Amino acid sequence: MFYLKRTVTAFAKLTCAGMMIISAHAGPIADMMANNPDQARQIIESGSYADLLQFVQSAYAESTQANGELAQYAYILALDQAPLDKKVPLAIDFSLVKPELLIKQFGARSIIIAVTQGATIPTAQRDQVIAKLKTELSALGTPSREAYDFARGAADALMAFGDDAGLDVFLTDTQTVGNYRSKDAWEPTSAASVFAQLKTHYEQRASDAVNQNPAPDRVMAAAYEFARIRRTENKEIKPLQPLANLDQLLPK
Amino acid sequence: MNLSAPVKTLATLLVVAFLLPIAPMLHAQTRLPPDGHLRLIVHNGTGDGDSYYVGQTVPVGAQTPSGFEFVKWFKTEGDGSLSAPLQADGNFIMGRDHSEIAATFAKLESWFPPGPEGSTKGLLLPKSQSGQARRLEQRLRVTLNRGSSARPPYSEVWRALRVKMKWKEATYVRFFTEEIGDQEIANEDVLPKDSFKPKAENVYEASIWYEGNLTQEQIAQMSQSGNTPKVTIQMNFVVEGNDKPISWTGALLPFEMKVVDRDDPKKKWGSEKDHNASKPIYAGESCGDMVSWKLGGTDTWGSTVFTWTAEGPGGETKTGPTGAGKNEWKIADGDDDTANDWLKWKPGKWKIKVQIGSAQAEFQQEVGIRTEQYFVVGTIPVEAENTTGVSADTINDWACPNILYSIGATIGGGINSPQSSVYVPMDVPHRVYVNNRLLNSTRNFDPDPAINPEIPIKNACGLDPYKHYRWFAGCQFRFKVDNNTLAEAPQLVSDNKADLVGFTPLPCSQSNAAGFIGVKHADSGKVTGQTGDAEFSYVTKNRAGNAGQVGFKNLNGRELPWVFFRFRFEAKDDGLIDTKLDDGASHNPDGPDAKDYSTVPTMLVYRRYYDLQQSKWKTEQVDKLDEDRRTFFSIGNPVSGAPYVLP
Repeated sequence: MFYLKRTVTAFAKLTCAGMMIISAHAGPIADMMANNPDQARQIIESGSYADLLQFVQSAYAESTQANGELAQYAYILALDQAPLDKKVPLAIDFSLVKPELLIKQFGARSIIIAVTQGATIPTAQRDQVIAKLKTELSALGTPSREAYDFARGAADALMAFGDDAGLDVFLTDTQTVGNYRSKDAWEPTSAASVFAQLKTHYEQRASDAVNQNPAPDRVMAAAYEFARIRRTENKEIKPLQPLANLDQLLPK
Repeated sequence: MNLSAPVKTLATLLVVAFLLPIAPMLHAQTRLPPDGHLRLIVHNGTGDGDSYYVGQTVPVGAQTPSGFEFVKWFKTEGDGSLSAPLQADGNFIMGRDHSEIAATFAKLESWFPPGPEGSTKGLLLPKSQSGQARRLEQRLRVTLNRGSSARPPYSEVWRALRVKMKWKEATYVRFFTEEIGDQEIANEDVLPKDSFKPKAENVYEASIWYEGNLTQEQIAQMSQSGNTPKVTIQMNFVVEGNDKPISWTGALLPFEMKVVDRDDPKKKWGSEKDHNASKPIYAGESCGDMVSWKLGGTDTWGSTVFTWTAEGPGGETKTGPTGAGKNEWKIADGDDDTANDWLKWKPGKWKIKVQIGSAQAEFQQEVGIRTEQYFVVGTIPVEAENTTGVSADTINDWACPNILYSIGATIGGGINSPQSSVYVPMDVPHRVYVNNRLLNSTRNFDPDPAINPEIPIKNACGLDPYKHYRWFAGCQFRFKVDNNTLAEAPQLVSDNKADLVGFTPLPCSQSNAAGFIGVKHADSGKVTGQTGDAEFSYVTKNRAGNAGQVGFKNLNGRELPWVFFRFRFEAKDDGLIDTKLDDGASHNPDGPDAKDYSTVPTMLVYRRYYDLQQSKWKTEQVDKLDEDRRTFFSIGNPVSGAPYVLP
């Protein structure tokens, strides 16, 4: 790539001149990002999973120090640019285990992208991430915007993985669900066929070429599929055992 | 000192004996005027004069203030006499001394929560529900008026109120007083003055209450024409053994008020709830409350003609139903009048009047305003990039996907180091180009097609903080108005407020799965507007997170300006947005100033509402405020010692 070639040339120039760029953002990852971005790029885009995880964890540790913006950028970049097959492992090993809800959110979103874009996810990994998402949802307590956003993302991720617990969390957002109820004309005891039709409707919307934002429609299609299954089991469409309550997580 | 009874008697006798010789001397000094003319001072009336003679008959007349009734004349000085102290017009017979008299007045008021103060024309009894007794509290207030006179001692003016309950079926309603507590008293009784609490100088208040345990049939019976229960309150003044009565009479009518609270505008008639007329209801362009005021509580008014009217602020009037049996005024969907499915009245205090045959009931109803729901999406679109004067190296470094890694030099400062591989020359074309690349490569998707009207404003109408907005803010208020100004601080409708920061996504990312979250200013989400203000506002104010701030500073030598939007509403108004959208953007990096929005980002202003006819949530774009990036890049405060400051 032209970019790489030029960067190497520039780096050679630097070395020849015997100069170093002094960055306020000290630390190995910040230095790499500032002075040798090709190396960072190689690790993120084509390195081994072990190197990638090491890079992300080092960047995270460095970002907690003073002037950690560049290191923070580094791990966010890595989470975003990591290949599809490494997104779910990164969520399991990094995003979902960090205390920051914002980073957990990145993890949930990565999972949705991986699933909806067709990543191959081994069964063990799938079970592991579902369990982790459920654990994290159950642990949410104090209402905050971040907690709410993570819970929404995690619920969507669970539904994307085909787990009914995601629907249970989604159903706790009473206002949104109430509006969907009146818009899509269903009741908690509507026939399964009603939900089957709604699933088809949202699948078609998601597949529409002009739809610039198909993900929510895909999630709604999944939600209505779970609702259909529940009705065939003669269960009402209401939160049964939600792991988190969206209404309660949103600050008043 | 403790004195025995005989000693006390002796002491009293000694004092009297000592004073007796002095008393005639004191009297003689004031009794005879030097010029032989006598003076009469008349407070609160006519008859003043200073050349009267002993025994002269002087006509006097009380000047009764509006709203009061004459009670009696008091003689406060001198030895003359009044021919008829309980009559407003009479004669004063001059004695041998100067004299001073004062007319006194009183007002008896009564009102009935939920009816407000002053609703003296109708007594509204709350409807009984399934045999459960319901209390109706009545307040009585006595106000004495002494006009210009400092005397007499008003504690002596009145003694008690006699309360008479008159209706054919008195046993339906039990009568209590605060004085007696829960002990039932007769339907005609006297409230001694001691049962009144002084509320202010010369103002006394007491509460009595009725407890109804009425069946629907009994209410219907009471409501029949000619069987209307009445309450008479009679105030008696004791003057020289005579009672001077002032009375108040009100009709006892069952009253029922229902309201559909349209904080949730999806609600229709059918989800109405009991309401209390002392609490406000809210009008609105698309989301006014639905309301019903109803007398009688039954449909047995077939032969009685009702006429409903309302008088509002600024002389506004409304006409309600008129005709036989029209004992309800309902403003709601499902009513006869489809043009008025919800309340759209001017805000302020209204008098609701209902003529019932020859009688009239009246009560006050406060109407506030519920604004429309508005939200603003702050979004970064893609704009044209001017490459004139920009080197090929810079264009390459900041193209996708290279920019993902060049950004490190923006945050780290390498762009200002000529030795860096991604050094950006310090001139306007290069720096503006890189600024534009940073924004274009982190652009938001067009939010318009992604807006989901079904999802409430508090949840950003379904927009994605990574994809669709840098920030999202919205609000809806309820407010009360007095004389075109706020009657109190406006209240946010909690489900319809949002002040959310979005993310600066990673450059060139299609997935927008991660990014840097923005930060809010301490003023963000604050409401301005207090009692007496003509307008109020809600502000969102934020900017990119720390990494973005550092990058901007390195690139432009300036602090990153705050971006903002101010929702503005006028109190006199109808609840539609009054933000100065046509005044242009503010150039203040720490706004808002007089202008209501910043130069960046592009702001899409929407109204969200519920179409009752179509049973559908909708949004409509109110305005689009295009960003002005070039100005934005150059209005931040310069950073001291920066190697380059973008002009």
